[in-house]
Amino acid sequence: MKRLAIVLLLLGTAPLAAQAPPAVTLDDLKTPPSPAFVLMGIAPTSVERPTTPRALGLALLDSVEGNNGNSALPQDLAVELAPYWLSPRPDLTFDQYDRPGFWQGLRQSLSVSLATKGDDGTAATTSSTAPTGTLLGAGARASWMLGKRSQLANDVLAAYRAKVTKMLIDAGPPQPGQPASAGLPADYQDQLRPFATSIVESLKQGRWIVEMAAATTERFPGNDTSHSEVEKTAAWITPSYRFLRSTFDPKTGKLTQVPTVDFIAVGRYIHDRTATDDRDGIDVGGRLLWESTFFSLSAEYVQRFNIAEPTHRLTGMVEYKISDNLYLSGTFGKDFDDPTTEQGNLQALLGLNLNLGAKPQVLGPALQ
Amino acid sequence: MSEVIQGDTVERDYEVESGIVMLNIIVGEGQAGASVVWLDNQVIAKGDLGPVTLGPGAILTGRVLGIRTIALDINPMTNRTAVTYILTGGATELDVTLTKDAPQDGAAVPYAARFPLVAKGANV
Repeated sequence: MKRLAIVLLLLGTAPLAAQAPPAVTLDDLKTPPSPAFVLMGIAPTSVERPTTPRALGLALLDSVEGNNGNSALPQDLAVELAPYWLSPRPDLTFDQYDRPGFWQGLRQSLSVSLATKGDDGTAATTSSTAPTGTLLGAGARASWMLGKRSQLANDVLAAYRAKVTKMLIDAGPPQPGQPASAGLPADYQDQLRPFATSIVESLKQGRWIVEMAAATTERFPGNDTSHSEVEKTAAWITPSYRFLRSTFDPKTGKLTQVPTVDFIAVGRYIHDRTATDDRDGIDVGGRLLWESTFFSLSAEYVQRFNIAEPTHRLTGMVEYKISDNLYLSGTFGKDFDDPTTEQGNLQALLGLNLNLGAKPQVLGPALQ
Repeated sequence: MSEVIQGDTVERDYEVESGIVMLNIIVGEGQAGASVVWLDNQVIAKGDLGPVTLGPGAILTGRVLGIRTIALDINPMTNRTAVTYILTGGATELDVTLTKDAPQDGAAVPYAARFPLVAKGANV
């Protein structure tokens, strides 16, 4: 029996695919930016992002002091940091940063996420078997950019350097006691900012980026640090390629606003001990995504292995930006089979999402 | 060992001898930079520079080496910017790093350096 479900979520923040039945509901193909938070369902807006060792120390201290001596575990900690960038890197040139070797690429892109979620007591009231105690999550993510810079990126860099060189020559040699900006045009920031945007975007086009992430969560029953149980473990690998489509105007420093086309492949493994069955799903698939300023279209195929009855999902997705925080989204196609229900797996979901924060990437739900 | 200065300007005398004086400029923190180098009022190098040969100390004495650099914050991992100026071939090696945070993503940070080139012992 097939199911046709049309859901209209007015001004809701709930993810659309949360309506879908699969036991493992990790629906965003992209590697999560903060894998530990994804596993734990922590909102990214509440995350501390220290950029110095001192700031990291203060964040940890705050979380320990916040538990009022009730537990040896820090409570409600959510920290994400990039260890390589906690220290100054005055010798790292742009070329070394943009074209690193494999290990250097991993070092400079590595980010670590760490979080704890205190027991708020709701689990005990909703189910006598629900786990209690502090939940600890840890994750890591890194990426590696493959291939040489595109001609587009080289053109943008050459134009930027020509622009800067002319500005500096016009300013003349530095004089004693003058500030570094002396002689530069009053609007030099406005003149150069478009080049920064264009450099960042052009470096992504025409290249493969391989992103890898892993995370695990552990429950500490009774907040006893001597005993813990692993709840979820997950690993992702997502090679992606953004097709080279923009052109560049060296006078303005801007890239043409053309729709981007991305291909994203995915491999992911999720071990979920809180699930009653199919605890070790492996997903392999890919997505082709076309995206303009207001409109995006994508098609996705994902095969799920290593469960009792292997299944696949084949869906098309559409998203239209109504305003900066309001998106109309639709998903159509066949979802994963769900052996726990008699219902079919035809997907036809339509929703209106209010997003307070970053733009969703067509589908943005987290693993619940 | 580089001298690190939290700021965007530096001025130091540099003692030259008979050897060939070289300048190296490193724009760090993975940011995109470009520089212009003057000897007195004459531009002698510009762009994304590698090592620059200034010449033998004898013809440099009494002149002023001026350098301007702009570092553009294109690195999403940090807003720090840094420029290191290294002079070699004189009485000693001069190695100074200027560092300053970009006020926001995509901002440009200008730097300026002046190195009056003096004969060895002139400052004694």
